[in-house]
This record gives sequence, structure tokens and C-alpha cells, in this order.
Amino acid sequence: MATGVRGTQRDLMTESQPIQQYLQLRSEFMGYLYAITRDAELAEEVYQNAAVVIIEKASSDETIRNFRAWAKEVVRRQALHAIRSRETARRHGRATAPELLEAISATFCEDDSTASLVHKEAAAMQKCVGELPQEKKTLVAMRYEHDASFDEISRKMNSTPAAIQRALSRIRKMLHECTQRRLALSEGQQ
Amino acid sequence: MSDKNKPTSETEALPETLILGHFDNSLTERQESELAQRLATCPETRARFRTQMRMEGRLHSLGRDGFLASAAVQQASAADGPGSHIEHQVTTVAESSSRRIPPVFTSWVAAASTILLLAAWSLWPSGVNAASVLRQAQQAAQELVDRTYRVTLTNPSNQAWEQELTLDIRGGSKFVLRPVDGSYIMGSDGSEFWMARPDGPVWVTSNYRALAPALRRRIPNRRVLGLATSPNKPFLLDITELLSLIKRKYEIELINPSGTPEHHIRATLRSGTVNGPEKIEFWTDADTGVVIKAKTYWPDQNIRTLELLNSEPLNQNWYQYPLHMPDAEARRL
Repeated sequence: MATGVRGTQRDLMTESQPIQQYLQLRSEFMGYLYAITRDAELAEEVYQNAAVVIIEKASSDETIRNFRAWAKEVVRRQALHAIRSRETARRHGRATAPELLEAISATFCEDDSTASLVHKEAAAMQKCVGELPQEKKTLVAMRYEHDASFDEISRKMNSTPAAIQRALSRIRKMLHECTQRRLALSEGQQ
Repeated sequence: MSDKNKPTSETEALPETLILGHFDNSLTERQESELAQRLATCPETRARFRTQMRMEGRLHSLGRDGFLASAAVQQASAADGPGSHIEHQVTTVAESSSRRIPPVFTSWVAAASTILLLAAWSLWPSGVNAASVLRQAQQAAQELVDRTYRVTLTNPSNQAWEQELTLDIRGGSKFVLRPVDGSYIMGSDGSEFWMARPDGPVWVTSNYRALAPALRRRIPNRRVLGLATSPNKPFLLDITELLSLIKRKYEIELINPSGTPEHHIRATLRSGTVNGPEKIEFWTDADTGVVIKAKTYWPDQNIRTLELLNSEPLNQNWYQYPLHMPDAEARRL
């Protein structure tokens, strides 16, 4: 049984609410899923599978008192299951260190950021993305929309994979700093 | 924003370097252990990791929802100057709109409201080129008639992925899709999306995104639904949408000369454009413009082929689930 699910009442949620709440938390969950899978397709697969569990549990006679915490646990379990399956199927290559998977999952589950902060952070980051110079936006789009590898991007951009990786690292640092700056500014104004 | 965000010291740089390296999948085994240890012992590293994790999730979500694509497409369009035209038979189809490809379900609904009648052949220009063939095909695809296609999904490196389906489509907004093994059926009557397995209930929704996760475990081969519901890889089983995509994002080339019974068009994704098949080929009837066959080639080596089987009229209620599942219970999501 997933953490945070107990009781026999089902009046706290209708059948349509859980999936809507789940969709609202998509970015947060996908961030975690990508962190432990480093595979956008697998992350999406796990996200979808967790949605099925959430729909089914939500339609049972169980009360979900803290949806976010409960959904996190569902996602975490689905993710670890998927990773184990992938590692079993993989014939070569190195699996992610188990202690790192545990540490990331613990970091994800203990996150108690308020919904307000998460929302403000998302809005700030989107503005920062909008401010990126065009060529940086193109790199970000290739990486995050098309899930292109550094090799694929470098071929399209006439560059090297290492240079693309460095460029994207710089962009992510810029986005992080810009987001934090905007958040600080927003708090200062209040 | 400044681009000069160099870390001020190695001790400050290390956690962030490890975190970004983790998301790039470039850490060594030792570095992974080091990151795990830092996450377990250092609250600042955990906080930074959480921030990065949320950021990565948002970037993926923005990409999925199309907020990143427009910028890239705009840049690609800007780069396509007059000098990018190649030979007289290769036509760059300029399109000012850089909107993202809409999800297939909404696009089909939208397409229903813009149905046009077929243009008269007599008005067709005598000089056939790639652009004129594309225009003719688009007009023919908007006809409000039933067409049945064989859909084949293949991947040269993964034979287990191969599937064959039958697609009935009317006017771009209504469709019925069935795998040959009869394991399920899905469709749309133009306003609602539905899906059923034999002897099971019919799942109905007007919100295909909400439908997708609920259906995944009920469909034996989930990849088909994945194709149907992923905005990043639109289904492209709708000829109308496929041709519209070609017009927006591809350079097209007429392969065979005029005078032949079929026109063969090759469409190549413009440089810098990030979304969509790398190459699309389609064949149209030279007289009617109807697409007889279309093949899309994706970066992951997947190939989707549509072949026109017939254009016979189907039952008026063909696109509604009661016709196919008369005794099944309908469950709305």
C-alpha cells in the first residue's frame, strides 16, 4: 500500500480529480523521473504507468489525505521498478549506482517546497527561458523537446558533442541563476 | 542574463558540476558515489539537486507542450533565405506560421471545422511541380469521404515493434483504428475519442490526454497509443495533418516528372527544425491528388507507412462506438 493512503471514505476526491492533480504535478514528477532514469522515454513511460495506478487507487475505497505525498510514493515505486526492469534487460553498460538512486529518491520525497513556491519558480524559469538568446533556445529545444543526444545536436549544429554538453551546462546554470534572481526579486517586492 | 557564470572556486563548483553531470549521464562510477554521498550528507546539495530536478522536469514539460519549439522553428525559418532554394524542382514552402503541431486529437477536431471541397481538375495548372502536387493533395485530403488505409509501423532494428493496422478516416476529423489482430479498436466521431478491447467496456473522453494513461494498461501494445497521444511525436496517421506539417517544416522535391500516373514527393526536414520525421515520402494519384501511399521516417528509425486500400463509403455511424461495440458498457473518463 502506498504511503499516505488510508481510511475507507472516498468523498475527499472524485474520480476525475486525482488525474487532474497528477497532471498539475507533471513537471515535478518528470524532473524526478528524468533524474533517476536519464531517459526521457522511460521517464514518460513511468509517469504514464503511475497515472494508471493513481486512477485505479483513486477509484477504490481509500482516502487520499495528502495527494502530493501519496503520488510521489507511487511515482517512486514505479520508477524503481522500471529501473530494475531496465537494468535486468540491459546486456551491457553500467547501471546507475544504487546508493545514488536511493539518495535521489530520498531527496525527491523529502521535498516540502510549498505549491506556491513551486509555481513561482516555474513562472520565473519560463520567463528566463524566454530571455535566452535565440541560439541558446534552439539548443534547449533540441535537447528537451526532441530529446536529441549531444551527438545528434552536434551534427546538426556543426559542433562537437563535448562542446554542446558544455554549452547546455552553461545554459542550465544561467537559467538556474536567473530563476533564483527573479524569485529573490519577487520576494523583495512583497 | 550574463553568460559569465564561472564558478568562483572548485569547492563551490563541484556539487553543481556533479549534479549537471548526472543529468547529462556523464558521471563516472566514482563521481556517482560522490554525488550520492553529498546528497546524503549535505542539505545545500540536496536543495540544489531539487531545484535542478524541478528545472529539468519543467524543461521537458515545456518541450512536450511546444513552448520550446517555436523559437527553434523561427530561427530555422529565418535561416531559410532565398539562397536556400535548390534547383527548380526543389521547393521551399515558406510558411510564416511557426505554431507547433497540435496534438493529433485536437488537430483532427479543428480540421473538421475547416473542411473544404475538392478543387476542380480543370483549374489545375498545367505546369506540375512539388508545391502544386502538395496543394492538390491537401485539397483532396479535405474531401468529406471515407478512406481506408493500411498502416504499417516498422523499425529495421526492432522487428518486435512491427505492427499492422487498418485506419478508416473521414475528412480528417473522424477515424477508426484497428490492429489486424483485433486486440482493440479506437476511434473518434469528431468530438469524442473512444477505445475498447473485445468484451471490455468502451472508454470515452473528450480529453485524450486524460484518456491515455488510463488506457495504457488496457491495450496490449502500448506503443500505438503512445504514438497517438504524444505531442512530441504526433500520430501523423491523418493525411491532412501530415500534408500540413510538410508545408510548414519541409523542403519538398518532385521525384518523378509530370505525365506519370502517380506523383512521388520527397519531403526533407529543414535544417534546424527539431520536431517531426526526418523524411516523408508520399505518392499521389496524378488525376485526383489523393494520397495513395505515405511513408514517414523518424530519427529513432521508426517507419510508418500508410497505403490507401479503398475509398468506399462506410456506414454513417461507422465512427461512433455503438456500431462496433453495441453491447459494451460506456465509461467516461
